[in-house]
Amino acid sequence: MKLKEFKLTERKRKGSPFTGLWTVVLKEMADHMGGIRMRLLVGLILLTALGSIYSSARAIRDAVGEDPFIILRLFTTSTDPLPSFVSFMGFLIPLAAITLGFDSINSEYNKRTLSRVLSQPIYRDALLLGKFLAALFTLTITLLSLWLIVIGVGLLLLGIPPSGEEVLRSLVFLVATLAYSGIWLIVAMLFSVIFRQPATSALASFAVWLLFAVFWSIITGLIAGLFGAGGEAGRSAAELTISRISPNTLYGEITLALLNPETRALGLVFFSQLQGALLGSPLPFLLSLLLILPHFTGLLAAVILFFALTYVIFQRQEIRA
Amino acid sequence: MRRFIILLTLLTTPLFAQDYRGLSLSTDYPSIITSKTDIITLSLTVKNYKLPPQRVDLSILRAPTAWETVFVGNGNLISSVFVAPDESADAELWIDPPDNTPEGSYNFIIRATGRNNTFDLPITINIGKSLPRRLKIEPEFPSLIGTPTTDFSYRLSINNESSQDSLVNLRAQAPEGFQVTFKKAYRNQEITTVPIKAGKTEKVDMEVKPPANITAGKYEIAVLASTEGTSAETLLTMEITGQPKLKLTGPEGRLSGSATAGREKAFKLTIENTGSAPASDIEFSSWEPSNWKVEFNPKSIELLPAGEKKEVTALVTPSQKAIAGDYSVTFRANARDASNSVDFRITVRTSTLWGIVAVIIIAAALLVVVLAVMRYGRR
Amino acid sequence: MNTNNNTVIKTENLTKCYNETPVVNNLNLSVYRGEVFGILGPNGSGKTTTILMFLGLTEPSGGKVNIVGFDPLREPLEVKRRVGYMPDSVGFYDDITARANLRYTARLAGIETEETEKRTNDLLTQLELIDVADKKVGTFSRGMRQRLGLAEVLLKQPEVAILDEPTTGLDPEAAQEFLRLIRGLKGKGITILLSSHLLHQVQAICDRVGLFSHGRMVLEGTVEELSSKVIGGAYDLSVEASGNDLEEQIRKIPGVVEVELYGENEFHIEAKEDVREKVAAEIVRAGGKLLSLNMKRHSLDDIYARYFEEERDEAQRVQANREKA
Repeated sequence: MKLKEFKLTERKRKGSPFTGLWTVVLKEMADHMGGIRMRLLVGLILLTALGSIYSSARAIRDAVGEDPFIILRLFTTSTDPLPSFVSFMGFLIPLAAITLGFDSINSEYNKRTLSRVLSQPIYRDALLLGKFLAALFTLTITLLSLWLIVIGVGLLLLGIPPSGEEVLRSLVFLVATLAYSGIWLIVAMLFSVIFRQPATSALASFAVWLLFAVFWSIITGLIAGLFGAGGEAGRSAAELTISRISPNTLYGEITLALLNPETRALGLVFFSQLQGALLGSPLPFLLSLLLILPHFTGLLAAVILFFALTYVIFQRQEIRA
Repeated sequence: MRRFIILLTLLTTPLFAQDYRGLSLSTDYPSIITSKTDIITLSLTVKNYKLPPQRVDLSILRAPTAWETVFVGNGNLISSVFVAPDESADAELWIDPPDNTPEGSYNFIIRATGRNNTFDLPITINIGKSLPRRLKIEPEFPSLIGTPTTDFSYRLSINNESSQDSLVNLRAQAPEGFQVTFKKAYRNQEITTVPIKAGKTEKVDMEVKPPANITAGKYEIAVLASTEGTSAETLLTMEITGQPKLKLTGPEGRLSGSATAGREKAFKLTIENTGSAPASDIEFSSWEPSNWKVEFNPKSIELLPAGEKKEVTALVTPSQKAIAGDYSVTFRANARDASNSVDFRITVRTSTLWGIVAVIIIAAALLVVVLAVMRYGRR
Repeated sequence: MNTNNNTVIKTENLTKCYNETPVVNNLNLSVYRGEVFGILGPNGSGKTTTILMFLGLTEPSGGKVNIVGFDPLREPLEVKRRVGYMPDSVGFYDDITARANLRYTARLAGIETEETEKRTNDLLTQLELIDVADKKVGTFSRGMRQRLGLAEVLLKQPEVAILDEPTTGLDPEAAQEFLRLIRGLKGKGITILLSSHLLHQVQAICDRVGLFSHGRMVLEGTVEELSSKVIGGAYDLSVEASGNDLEEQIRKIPGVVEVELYGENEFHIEAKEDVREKVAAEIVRAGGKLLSLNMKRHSLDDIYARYFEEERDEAQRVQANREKA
């Protein structure tokens, strides 16, 4: 990229690239909220969340014991047939994000609406960003209502209001979940830009999701095995590093650190590091935050970079179908 | 051998005894002096000397009026015993004097009646006189030396020199602040009274705890053993020598603090001598997780007079690889005669460097977007 | 670039290449205020690319464009605010109503809500869509969609309306109806640029046309101008007459370019002007008997076909010469 050319291009166009952004956002959000696809999915998510929260609340109520983070346990406790709320989220949120994103651009091509919309006084930038933001806001609303359900069920069944730290931790968890869903959203949108057929992009998105959700641990083991030279510790470190490429791993670790305040470190801990450590004492909120900062940064940076990639590919595409 | 003994017995026994044929009725103390009018129990022995086996009837030949007597054998009322040749049989005679029996001497005659023989045993019971009570208390070691933290333990022998069982009260007079407890020797229960049978001796341990802030010197403790009508006293001394006592405390009395991994952090500790003697050669040491570094400034203190305090700085460097959260570190002060340690909870903060890196990474990612927008933007 | 007030669209050497292949090649075009200009040519001749470059939706590889006083490269938003565009086989969001589709467009175009409602109702009434205004667009026929597309274009009250293949997919009757609607816009002072590959369909409503071929605008002007330029004469007469030496006599008439004799009595006359009277007079004067006289105007299709015939011949000649050399 030559700098000169760049400046010229930059100087060339006038007007804000964000013109019409909020119109796009509002229209897309209305589409998502009104669409039968999202309604079904949100219904499914709310039902499973309610189920898992209800059963974990009962399990917690039955187990007598003092716990300063009893509301957080609502998120993480799993009762035998049902997985915990967070594992449900780890599973369903990518699904929702992919559903929102996989046909966002190619459907505009297929419906032949793209050139019509872009002939209005807006830039493509606003269309792509608007679609991304609209999906993100839709997910935010879904997650926020889920959060309220958890707190509400906690109040109703346990009779305990959440402490300030619990609210903070669960809200940060919400933000992290949003970043995690952002990854799947932007990946689905990237495929929707690359592939003209929504079915293809949906399939590609789900393939990526399946790769990380199911097969990544196997692949991790295989690849780490190739670097076998480092001995057991080296192998474990390699395995950890590779597994952290997966957003699922990052999200899982973030969840662990935020919702189990006793978590002191993520990943490999040597015995020497544990010497003299007072185990079981909860980590202060800010230290937990510091613990997940790299993970959160990774997720966020990935979202931004994938957005940039999607953006560049979309901008370079021809408008005509 | 047995024959030889029998022979010897034959040779030495007076002829009378040797030749005696008939019955005998005996008791250890045929004349008793008592002050009480409780039942008096006499043990009786009936012996058959070279007579054929026979039944022997027991009876009271003479007794003061209104006194009741019964023979008791093996828990039953009896009136006779059976004796084989050269054997004896035991029985008891219970004598119940009537209430308000006046002082005086009362005589009884008890008769044992065999087939052909009889034997009379006269008995005298004197009502009114008794032995005076007397207690004696004697320490094993009347003088002990120790430090304020020593447990002083005196062993006392208390002797009931009277004919009656007594309940003895124990009391000690010690300087203020001293804690005195009595225990029966080899037992753990604290006691204030000890029952002592007539004529017997009991051993009692007296434990004394001087107050912690006592100054060196000689102290006296008086021990009083008392029972109805009499008492005994003894004086014990304890010499308390001075002792230093160290107390290590954290900054403003707190026992926790925070530090950043890999970064040195200073904690201001206070060392205080709360003892009664100056502490000398105080050395500081610590127990910390591996790869941690703890240094003290100053490293040692030559002399710390009693009642004075000094500040010590502990420079703690958590391991570079320490994980976030709480660790325990022990600071210790060792003097010649005293030591103290304190467990300090250190909350390790991981480096905030990651925060900066995170900001840089996000900024870099955003820069990519900005470049993309500049190059491909606004189409 | 100098544009006077009457030039709404002007291009100078506008070029667009994909992978070094020119799709639009050195296009010089001017469209004047209030006229209906037709960009005509077969599929793949660069019509849509040209239009997209007018709107700033495709970046030219070279040359300049000025549309309604703005450079679409520099100020595409200003251009798009003033120019309405109906793409080739326009599409709408099928699961929302016609009204909602228009509302979205209006919001993107920055039209106030009240104004939008008013304009929407007016336009839908005018385009006979008011009955289905609150139906989902998914149920609409192709013709209704085209009309909705036109409504969307007019919603902006544009200075220029660009219509890409507006009659595609319509049956001939609907197409004529739609073209009549377009023609009606001319009265409102809107400059109309339309593209089509159905030359004969649109020739009637275009004031001027530009014929595109392989990225070049090969001919430009009114239909009449083109036909005189390409065919030489714009008039075709077929005459049935009997008489002696008529062919020679007719050939002498000024304005006649070519006379061909088919069979015994049938003549085919090409002329630069209307020579019907003169021909009739000449036949009568020469003592011939005029049996019938018909004149037909050249259609654009003829012009196009003729032009490419000549060009092909020319090309073959050049090719042949080159091979000889």
